[in-house]
Amino acid sequence: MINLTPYSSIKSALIVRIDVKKYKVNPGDTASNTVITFSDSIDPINVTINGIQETYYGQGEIIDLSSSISEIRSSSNEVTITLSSVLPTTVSTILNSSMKGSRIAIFRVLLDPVTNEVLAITGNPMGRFFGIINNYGIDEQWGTTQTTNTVSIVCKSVIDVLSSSVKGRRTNPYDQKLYFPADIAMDRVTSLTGSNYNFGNLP
Amino acid sequence: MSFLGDLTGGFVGGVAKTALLGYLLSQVTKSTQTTTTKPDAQTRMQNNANPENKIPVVYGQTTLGGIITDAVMASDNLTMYFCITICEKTGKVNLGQGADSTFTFNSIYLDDNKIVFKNDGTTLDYTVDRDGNKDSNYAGLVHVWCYAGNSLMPAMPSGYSGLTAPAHDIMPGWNVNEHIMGNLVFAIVKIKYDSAKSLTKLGQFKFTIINSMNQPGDCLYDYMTNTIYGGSIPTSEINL
Repeated sequence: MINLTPYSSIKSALIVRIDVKKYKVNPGDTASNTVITFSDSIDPINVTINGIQETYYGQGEIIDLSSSISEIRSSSNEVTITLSSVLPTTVSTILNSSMKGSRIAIFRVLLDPVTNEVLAITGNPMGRFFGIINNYGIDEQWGTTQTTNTVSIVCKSVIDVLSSSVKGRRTNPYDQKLYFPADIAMDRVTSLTGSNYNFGNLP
Repeated sequence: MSFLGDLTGGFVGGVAKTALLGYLLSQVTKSTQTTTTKPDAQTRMQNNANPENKIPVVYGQTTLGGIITDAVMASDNLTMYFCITICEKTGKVNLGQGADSTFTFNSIYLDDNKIVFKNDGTTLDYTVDRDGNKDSNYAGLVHVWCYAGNSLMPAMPSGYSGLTAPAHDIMPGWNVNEHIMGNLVFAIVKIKYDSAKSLTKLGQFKFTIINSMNQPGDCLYDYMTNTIYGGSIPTSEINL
């Protein structure tokens, strides 16, 4: 439990970290591994997690996160992040990148309201949600003078992903080459299925 | 970065980790209960070639059939070679920090009779049934070569010593670069047709396999992290 007794005032913010494996600004670009960081604060926040300091860019009121529940018992959980007033170029980037399946982490961070520095308290920032982007939606409102874009990102928790994933290697060339591209040892399985041999019949 | 780790002292993070472990343990318990009430024949019996067959994972010791993944008949129609894929090769022991897990072919059975090999460790000498009766009917007609990891990792059955050839030197049509059988425990079986001795088909082979990975923590860790048959959870997200 975090001890806030020494502080007369604090402020908190939610910070979001998305690890996009195939990030592309334009369709023809080479995909790269890019980390996207932002927060619901007004100002940018410098946060150190796992010894790595990253800047979480403030999005202020244009971001909205649905509530999540912390339970002792393992259960599936879902969080939706809504970003409004998104620039068309950002929408384009989202469409070009492979957002679905990207790892996402949401933390609540406690800050000094004056300096906007992260309070040096053990356990700060606090993990709130860890999961994977399951889906996203883009809502475009076209007007005569301006266009408004809203992006909704639906995230599933790690528990949900684990409980719904099916793993294992099947005895077929597709699965074998997925892990060992040069291996053709399973290539004949399909043709062997249901086949008969004239074993013992002299040629 | 770690999504679950590095939140030491963080209440929510602690809950998340506990919840995840609880979930995994509940899945293992559920699996054990299912096995107790209804044995999964699919992973215990020898299966014919089918692209939908899944390769099982063996921790500790078990006896199971395999899955036929290749078959070649010699031009004389009197000799057949089969590749029987048995199980996945697991990762490193000691929570991923120790040596590679090793697989031992403790016993091999043909139609429920234990095979005793000649001194070469690959040629059937005689079989022994459950009552201890010996049968030399198939002597010299059945050969078994065992592999514990890939085509270049031949393994002698327990009680035998010596060297055997890589799989591509045994299985007709295989070559060293393309028939890798990566991360697989398997056997190559050679059968010589003999109608007088009723040896006209492959028969049911079973293998008693011992995996050196047998500690519960090692098995759980391996199953959580393995990217082929496990949960693919990054090691950085598991607090040891």
